[in-house]
Amino acid sequence: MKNIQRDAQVKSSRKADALPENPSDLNPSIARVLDEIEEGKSSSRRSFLRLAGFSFAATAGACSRGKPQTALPLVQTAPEMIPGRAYWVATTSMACGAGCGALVRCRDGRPVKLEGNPGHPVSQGGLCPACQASLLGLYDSKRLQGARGPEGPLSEELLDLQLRDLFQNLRSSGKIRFLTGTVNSPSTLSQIQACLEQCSDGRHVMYDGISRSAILEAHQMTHGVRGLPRYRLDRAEVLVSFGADFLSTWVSPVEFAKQYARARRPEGSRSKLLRHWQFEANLSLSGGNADVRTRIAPWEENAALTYLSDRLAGQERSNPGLPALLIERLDQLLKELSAAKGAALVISDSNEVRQQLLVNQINQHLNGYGRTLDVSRPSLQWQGSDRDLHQLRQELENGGVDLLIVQGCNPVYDLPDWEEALKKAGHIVYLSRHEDETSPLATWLVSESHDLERWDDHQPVEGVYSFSQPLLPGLFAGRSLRHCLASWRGAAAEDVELLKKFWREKIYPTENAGEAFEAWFDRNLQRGVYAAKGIEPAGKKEFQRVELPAPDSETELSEGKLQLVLYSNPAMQDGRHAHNPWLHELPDPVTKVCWDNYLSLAPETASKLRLETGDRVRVEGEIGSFEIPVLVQVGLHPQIAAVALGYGRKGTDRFADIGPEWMQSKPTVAAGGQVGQSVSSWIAWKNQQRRFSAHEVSLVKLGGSHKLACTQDHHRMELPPHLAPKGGEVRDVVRVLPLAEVQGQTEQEHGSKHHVYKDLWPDDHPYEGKRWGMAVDLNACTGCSSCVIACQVENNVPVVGKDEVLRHREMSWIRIDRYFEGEGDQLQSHHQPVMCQHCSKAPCETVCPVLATTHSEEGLNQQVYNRCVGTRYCANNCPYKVRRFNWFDYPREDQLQNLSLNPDVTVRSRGVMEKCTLCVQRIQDAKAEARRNGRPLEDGEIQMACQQSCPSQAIVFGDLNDPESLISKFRNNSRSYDLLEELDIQPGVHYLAKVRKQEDRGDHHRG
Amino acid sequence: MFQSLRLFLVVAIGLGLMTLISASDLRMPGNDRGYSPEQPIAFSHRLHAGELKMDCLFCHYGARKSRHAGIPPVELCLNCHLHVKANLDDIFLEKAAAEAEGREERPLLSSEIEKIYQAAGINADGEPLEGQLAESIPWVRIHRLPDHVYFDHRVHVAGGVACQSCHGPVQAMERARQEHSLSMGWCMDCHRQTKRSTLPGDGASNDPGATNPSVDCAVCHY
Repeated sequence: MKNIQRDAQVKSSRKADALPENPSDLNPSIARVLDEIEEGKSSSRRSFLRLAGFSFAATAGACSRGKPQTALPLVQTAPEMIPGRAYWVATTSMACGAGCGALVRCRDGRPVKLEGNPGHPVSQGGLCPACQASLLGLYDSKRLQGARGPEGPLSEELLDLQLRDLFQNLRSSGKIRFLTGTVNSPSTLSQIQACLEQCSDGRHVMYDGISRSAILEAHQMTHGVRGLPRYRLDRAEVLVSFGADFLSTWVSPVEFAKQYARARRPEGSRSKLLRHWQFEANLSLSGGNADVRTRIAPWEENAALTYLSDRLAGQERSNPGLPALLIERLDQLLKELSAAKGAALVISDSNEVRQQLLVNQINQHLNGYGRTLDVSRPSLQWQGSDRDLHQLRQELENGGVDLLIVQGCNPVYDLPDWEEALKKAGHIVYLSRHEDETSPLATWLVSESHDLERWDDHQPVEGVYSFSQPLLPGLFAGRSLRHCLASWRGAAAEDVELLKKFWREKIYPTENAGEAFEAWFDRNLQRGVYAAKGIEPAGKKEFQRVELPAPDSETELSEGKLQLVLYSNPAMQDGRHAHNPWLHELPDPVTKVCWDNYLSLAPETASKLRLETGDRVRVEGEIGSFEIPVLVQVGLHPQIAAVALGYGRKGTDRFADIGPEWMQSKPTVAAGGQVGQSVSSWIAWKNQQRRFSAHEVSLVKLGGSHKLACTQDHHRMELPPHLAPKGGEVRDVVRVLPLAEVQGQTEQEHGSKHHVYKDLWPDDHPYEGKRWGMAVDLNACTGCSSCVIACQVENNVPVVGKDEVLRHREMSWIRIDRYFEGEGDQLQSHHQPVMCQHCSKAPCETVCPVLATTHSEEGLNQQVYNRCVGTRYCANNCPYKVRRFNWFDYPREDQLQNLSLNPDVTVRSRGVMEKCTLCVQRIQDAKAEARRNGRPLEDGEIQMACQQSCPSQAIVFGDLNDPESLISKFRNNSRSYDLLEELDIQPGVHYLAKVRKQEDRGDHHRG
Repeated sequence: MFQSLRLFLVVAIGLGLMTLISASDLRMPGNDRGYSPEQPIAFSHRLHAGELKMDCLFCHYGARKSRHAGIPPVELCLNCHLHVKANLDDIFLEKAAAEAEGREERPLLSSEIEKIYQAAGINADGEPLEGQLAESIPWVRIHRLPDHVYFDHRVHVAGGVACQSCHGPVQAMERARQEHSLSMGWCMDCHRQTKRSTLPGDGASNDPGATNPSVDCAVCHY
């Protein structure tokens, strides 16, 4: 803690490192904040007194200077530590499990933003919403602090002593089991291995909350490799996904989104664009992006895959009882697949081994192995084994396990029926970051360090290693599993030494680096990633045909019942991000609902059951029942009901008070309640694999309603129906062009297609120097919402709570509008990120009575917070509805959370308007750097926060006055258009129309 | 008659107040001209920057690379003050006294320089003190801009703006003092009147298109 105090250069007060709720304390140091939290001193009475004291002092000394402010310089410096200057550190983000490379922006000794590492071979720049939001988890004062033993809190030394003794006693005779999430850190695995070698009976079991176990099982059978193949979407011309939401949650979404967007760019060098077929029951983000999306019931998947596999093997098959449309689409698909052998890929998210074996067979028929998917260097991102998990449960129930070490998973939440079995374990040691469902069972509870405060290594893909480095000293005495295990087995050492020892002994010798270990290691550490050259792929793995097991899922649904489908969303995933308010307030990319989970029903099903969005229902099945609100969602299979996993986590009652407190405010969560509803008990076991759609349920309508905070109809660009012309207003907001029209055309003459009237306002913006502009390629945008979180982190956008979201008062500067086109099996969704359009003739500028919003010489629409008096005229006059008003001060949860604020952006106070600034702080910083180095700005040097995080590179920013810049090329693209260009307000943000690879399907509507 | 008397009174009182304000130390709120608080160490800019002609950027090196000029770390002070431990006059006096009394010179340590040693947690010989951690010197901040302003030192330094243009004749100040109001109008004056090409060290190579500093709001307010 002392260290941080030293590193913390105190700057001026209420900028980002400020304490909005505590203005009297103008010079916070991290240490003091921490001390207060530790001592529990930040009570509301105390804050009130301080505040009262401040107001008194402020009145008394109105014209004097006020309290003197100290400025504490550093005591010692490191070359990169210049107060006020950001430095970047390469690390790895494990928040979603995919292990994407991240660059962390640090200011004054603390991380303030995570961005994608373009040099990382897996993610190649771009970062998912969860990984970016994991920053907030670092500054979470509700994290566990230190360790707890059977008799209360323990010091680290005492804990190590007790566990060393225990380990000593048990290793010759006891049964020791490790239960972890996927561990792909080679150095941690080597510690686990070392432990197991010392034990007479030890085993390591890994499982994932959202299981991919069947894919691994199937490849074990067909290829002899237990691993996920590495999928190469960019090498495919036809991609078929059975339920896999690869753009948002499945396996490695950032990597896939990048490959997907690249393979679908009409301007690229590809002769054939990737065609995407999706067969799914629930509507996923990937499904909405598909060229052909067909609804398929979960119980039909076996038959459909068998049909495909058999037909591809050259056998004639008649319809195995599938719906006519489905079989028609499958036949059509077969034609395309046969024409694209060697460039086709089939994936499935099913956790039934038979289905995954069929998928492997199909990929083999299509000559996919070695081309569109690779098993010689498999992915290690998900290694959980349901079979091992099942076996562990047997052992636990037999009472044979003496010591269970649990880390990186939350078994009581993920596997609720395990609680009794876990209680039979002799001792449980649990490494966790929060008090959660499992922690009461733990004999020893150890606080686990956050990814950003520890050393680590990862191997997301065989041969690709990436590193994590601590970016600040541990805040809550957190520890890593590797460090703990080394201490407990009697080989205690500093964590970093353990890591380096592994690398020195195991990896460095394979390299023949020709340089000393330290230099070699530091060089790789600095890059954040190391691609092994020494390790050859383990030889070509040949496909072995295996006997298919009998199908074990239902073939039909009982009359009047619905199939319960459990899925995960990119925010909560398996529930691991339940403590993150940024992710709770991130609208689901498909349904646009935040702060809840819900039962999605197809419109036809809902109308049959007389249910509407917001109705509460009781879902009844064989194993019990639960109550949940309904959401009517187009695109669902009519015989399913879908619920997201990962909600209803213990501890989410902390969000009861989130958001402003005022007369009419309602809590986000009822006191003692939880955000959403846990449905993990509805995961079924079949054939030693977990199934996520296995239960038949019926619905009973309950009285009362539950408001779902859905942002989709907030900030609409259309007129409300009662004001619109008859038949509704038609605004050409999302444009979709047929591929034929796009190909062959490269540039267009610019000019509005609409009639332009004589202008009321003079053309007084010459833009003599730069003219900043942005372009959004709707064809590349998948709607993944990375940009929304990126903007929130970069620009200090507050969380407002569910009640305020219901009042249309969410503060996000960039929103993603979702449009549906067609319905049922014709459904396509379009995603359109909308931020301030920085118009040349901005309607907001002309109505501001105090000139708080003006136009800059470089084309930015500037918002001056200290001039704004909050008339809100500008927001009313903005046709894009991108302005956000601070109805209240939105304090962060506590002082520690203030450390996540970006010091380069003002924290706005109550009563002022705000909106996207085109990350002007980044523009200014880049300009200052260029001037300092005496060189002109380069194109691409300035990256917006949203642009940097975008996995599919849909957003481009640059100087429109530079004809050679990328943005000018985008602007001159034949697909380029302006949003609401009939208004002729000349926005600086342009959109590139989406390209349709299918026949036209009529009008699109926002619904 | 009554009317003109009232007018006269209003004008007279107004003029009187204005004279009082301009003559006295009264200021508009937020204007901190002349603020010169006592500092924990009686550091003399006159001695360091004036007499010894040390470059401002030697200590305030942050101004070259960062938006903050920064206050030098104790470490930097010690680079010199491990060797320079007292006022030169005192050293000469001691030397003369020692010669006169025919004894060894006693090591001197000025009380102000001793504070640096204390902050660094070391004794007069530069050895770490048992049980005493290094601590920051709690300097009192003088130049302070409102929270909604982002001033960037590095562009101004790179553009050749002399430190004295904003901070006044620091090399002549015994105790640091705020010289200018640092109000927005004062900033704007300079931004409007200065032609960038007239500034030394900011030739056409830097940014050929621009001729004078931007007066866009978003240059400082974001």
